[in-house]
Amino acid sequence: MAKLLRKWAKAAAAAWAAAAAITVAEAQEAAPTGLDIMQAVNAREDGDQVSRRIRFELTDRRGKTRIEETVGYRRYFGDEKRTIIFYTEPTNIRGTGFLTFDYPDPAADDDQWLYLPALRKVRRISASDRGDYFLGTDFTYEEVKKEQKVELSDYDFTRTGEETVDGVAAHIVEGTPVSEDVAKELGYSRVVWRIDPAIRMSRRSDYYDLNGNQLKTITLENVETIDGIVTATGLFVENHKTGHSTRFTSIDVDYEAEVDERLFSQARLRRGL
Amino acid sequence: MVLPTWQEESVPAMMKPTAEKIFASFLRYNWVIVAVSAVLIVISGAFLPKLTKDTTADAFIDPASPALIYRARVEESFGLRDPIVLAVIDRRDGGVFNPETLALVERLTAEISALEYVDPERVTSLATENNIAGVIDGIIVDGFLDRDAEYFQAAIGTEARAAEIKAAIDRFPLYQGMLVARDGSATLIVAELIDDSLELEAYNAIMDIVAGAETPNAVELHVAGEGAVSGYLSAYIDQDARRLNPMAAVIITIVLAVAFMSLRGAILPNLVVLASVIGAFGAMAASGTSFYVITNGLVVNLIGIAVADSIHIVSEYYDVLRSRPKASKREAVAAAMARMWRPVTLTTVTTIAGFLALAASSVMPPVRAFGLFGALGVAIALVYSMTLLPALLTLWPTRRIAWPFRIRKNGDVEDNLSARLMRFSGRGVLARPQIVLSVAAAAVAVGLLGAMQLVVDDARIENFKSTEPIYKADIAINETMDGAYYLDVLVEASGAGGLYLPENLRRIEALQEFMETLPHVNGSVSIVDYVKQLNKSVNEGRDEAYVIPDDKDLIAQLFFLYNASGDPTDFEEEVDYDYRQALVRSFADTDRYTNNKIIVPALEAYIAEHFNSPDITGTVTGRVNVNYHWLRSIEESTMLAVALSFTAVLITAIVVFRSFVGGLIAAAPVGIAVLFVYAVMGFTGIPLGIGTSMFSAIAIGLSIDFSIHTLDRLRDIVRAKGFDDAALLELYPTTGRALFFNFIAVGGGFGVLMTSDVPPLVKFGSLVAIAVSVAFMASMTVLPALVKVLRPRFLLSKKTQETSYGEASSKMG
Repeated sequence: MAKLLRKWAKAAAAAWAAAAAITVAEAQEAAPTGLDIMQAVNAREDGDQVSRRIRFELTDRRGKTRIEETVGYRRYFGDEKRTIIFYTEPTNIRGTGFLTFDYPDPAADDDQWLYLPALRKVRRISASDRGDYFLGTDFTYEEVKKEQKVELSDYDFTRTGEETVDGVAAHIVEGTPVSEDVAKELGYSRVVWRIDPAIRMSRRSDYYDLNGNQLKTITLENVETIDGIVTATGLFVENHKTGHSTRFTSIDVDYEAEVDERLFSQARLRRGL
Repeated sequence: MVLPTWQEESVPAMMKPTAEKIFASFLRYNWVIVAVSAVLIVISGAFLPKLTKDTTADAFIDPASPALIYRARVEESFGLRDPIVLAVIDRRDGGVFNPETLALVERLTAEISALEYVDPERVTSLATENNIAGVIDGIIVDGFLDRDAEYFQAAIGTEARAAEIKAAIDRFPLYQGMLVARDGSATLIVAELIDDSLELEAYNAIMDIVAGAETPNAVELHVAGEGAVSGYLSAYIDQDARRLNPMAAVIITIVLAVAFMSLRGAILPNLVVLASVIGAFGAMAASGTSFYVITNGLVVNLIGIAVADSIHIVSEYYDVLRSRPKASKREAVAAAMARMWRPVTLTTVTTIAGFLALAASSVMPPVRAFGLFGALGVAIALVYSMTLLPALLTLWPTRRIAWPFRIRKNGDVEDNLSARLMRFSGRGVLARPQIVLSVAAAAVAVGLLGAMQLVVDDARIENFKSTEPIYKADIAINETMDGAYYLDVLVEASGAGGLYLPENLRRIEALQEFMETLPHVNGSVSIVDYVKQLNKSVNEGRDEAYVIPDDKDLIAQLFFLYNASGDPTDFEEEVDYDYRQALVRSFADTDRYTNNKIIVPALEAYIAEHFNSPDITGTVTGRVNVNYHWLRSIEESTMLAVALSFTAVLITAIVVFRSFVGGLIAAAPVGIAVLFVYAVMGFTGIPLGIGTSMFSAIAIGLSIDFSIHTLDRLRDIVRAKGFDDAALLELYPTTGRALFFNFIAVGGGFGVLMTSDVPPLVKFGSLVAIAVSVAFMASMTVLPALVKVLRPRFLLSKKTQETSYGEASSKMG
């Protein structure tokens, strides 16, 4: 029941946001504002639950590549989001797992647990900051958590123009953190998104460090509609300062298969794959 | 005094010496010579703006040096950069662990991170680093200065929090001695730059932050680091050059003015000097050679050396004007040139030989450049002295004889102070030649004794005066922290993932233990320290878990945990992506060669005997190793440079005087001069380093000039008048006087370097100045004494090759 209600509420919100965007646009007889566009992005449906395999291809400055593969599940518990992932590759870390409870209250720290199979112990690990890198990739926790969405209260948005990306017309939206503290938390002084209105996702995003140096670029390499949900299945992020890059590929994405609530427990983490 | 009397009219044109005729016809084209010279000067001057500076430490090292190449490879593969380091030193009890100083560290970190030259993500300090604490149910990662920290209970800005941070550091060996001094008295803020070419700007900006910082009384701030040193050194030598070069020019002009008391005598040699310096540095720019720290000394050197030729030529010109009152300017110049071209060319050849010997014996690019362009500059000076100078002398509006050279009303030569002084000392020498020679012999014996005490030593920081902030920073950081100088070992396992194996990690652990026993090595870090710290963290923070686990999978998972908890390139400086290569870094608090030559071979021996195995091998690298190898090259090349340049001047002297004995006699003052300097260094404990190792070749090349001029004149005298005391005394007011001013000019030129702010240049300049002084004195005392006592036959030989002015005049007389 709760699930159904939640789904309905989400759909309604999306419709409202889209309608609002259009209304505003019509009222101004012009293209939508940056905030309108980002609201539309955030209103995109992302599924209540998902199971998928993710492959990380990490490449260092010298071109040496390390491949990591994971199996992961995500499910909403009300507004709370729980995620569990297990590493399957490389073999020497097979079974290593992370469990995260992500609370809707921004003031509450997330809870995280780690399981190292060689140690045979579950260890609680302290919450990561939003701007911390996610498990040695070039994405931050914030980017992974938001799944191609953006926290609207973090930025002031400005639409600065249009650009054709991968043959598709996209809005260019610039975001500036609302305060110095937020900038510090995120690690960015400015972000530029190229939002494709058809998929409500950024096709290419540029990030600038706190001193305004170009930091990294996230490129959408592959996008698919799975179970009716627009899903980014290929993303590439390149850090311009370190030369390090991460390619993120989602495989076997399934929004329909039941994800057991009991999966998100320390006991399950210990049991492994 | 008796002067050769030359009756112009009595010399038929036919009998005029060949050289004089050649110069006379050549000087018909004086305007052409001046024009061509002007064009050449403008062309070489046009290249000057292209000159680039290179003040890095590595610039001194042979680019082909295996140690340098290997370190560059290691730096590239591990992404190592040279950061700028700000040390916050708190001398109070409890050190930096008080709210006030911690707040200062946080403020400074924020200000430095905000600098446009700094990579804000690559700033490391207590304000940016995390504490990893193992607690009963897990691991807590907190910034030491986080406001909402989970592990730290006390609020930021309280004594209690400062105490908590201190306790956390005490449990975290990786930070001890590197981030925070082991006694807590200091902590570092380390900043990597966005662009390494902006080192100076970054250094200055950080110095501005330091100057503007409100610091508690007991707190000192120091800025150092390789990045800071190169950046600062570049500005430092610029400043030095802007002061030294004009000073050298002024001193030379004063010497010229005193020697000649004429406008001509002061201005024309300066033009030759200017042309030579522009020529040499234009060529340097055109060839793409960098301007190094020691190149600064070359400008001053060339000023001092290039002027010597002019002094002899102008001096002779005035002598001719005096003795041949009816000669035209062109005739007088031609006569002076005919007399001087040979000694001037010979002395230039020997000076060039000195510079080239320096270039040939050194593997250091700055020293090679110094030798090559020094030789080129001296050669250019010769060409201009042979062409431009005489052309300008003929074009100068008057033929007025300068006051010191005039004939008194009574017909005698005006005897000026310097000539009188020279004659006075000449009388003394010629009266007691045996005493002179005995004193010289005793000096040689003492010199040998002192020279045996000579040691090789240098350190890069010695490029700065001890009062410079950067010098003080180096001292302060090395006193409080583990050390600012890296001695590294690159460890390579035989296959990918080899560094997950516990036995390999234990070998590395033992290697680190050994490294920390080496003198002045105070700490070390490698992936092993991370493994142990992480193992402790996942085991509730228990101290007994600070060990390498026995399970290779656990090691792999701990590494994974570390990677997962930081940014993707955090571990780049310690281990490669395949876990096959790792860097073991140790910290030494000194970079002196005397220490390096103990620790580097000891480490090499340990690795060969105890570390290397089929599974894992190690190679010594790092700044300390590179410096060890290139200073060792000084030890090896200095004696080679001395031998090469001494042989070169000896051969030149033998050829010049067509006599083996003649060569040996000419070389005597040179040997005495160099030996004297080594003795001074040996007795006073001045070590042989970069600056000091260069002096000998240059000093040899310059000192032989005095012998050549002296013997050349003595030969003329002896051929005309024999070994008579009165005849030999003629040497003193003529050539002796010119040599005196030559010595003052060269000594003054090098002496200017003594006021330099770059200590290697100070040492180099002082030593050359001392050597030149000794050589001058020896050629005015030992040489005439030897000639008087030995009566060498080579001075008498009656070969009629090139007829010199002395011979011609004596025939006429």
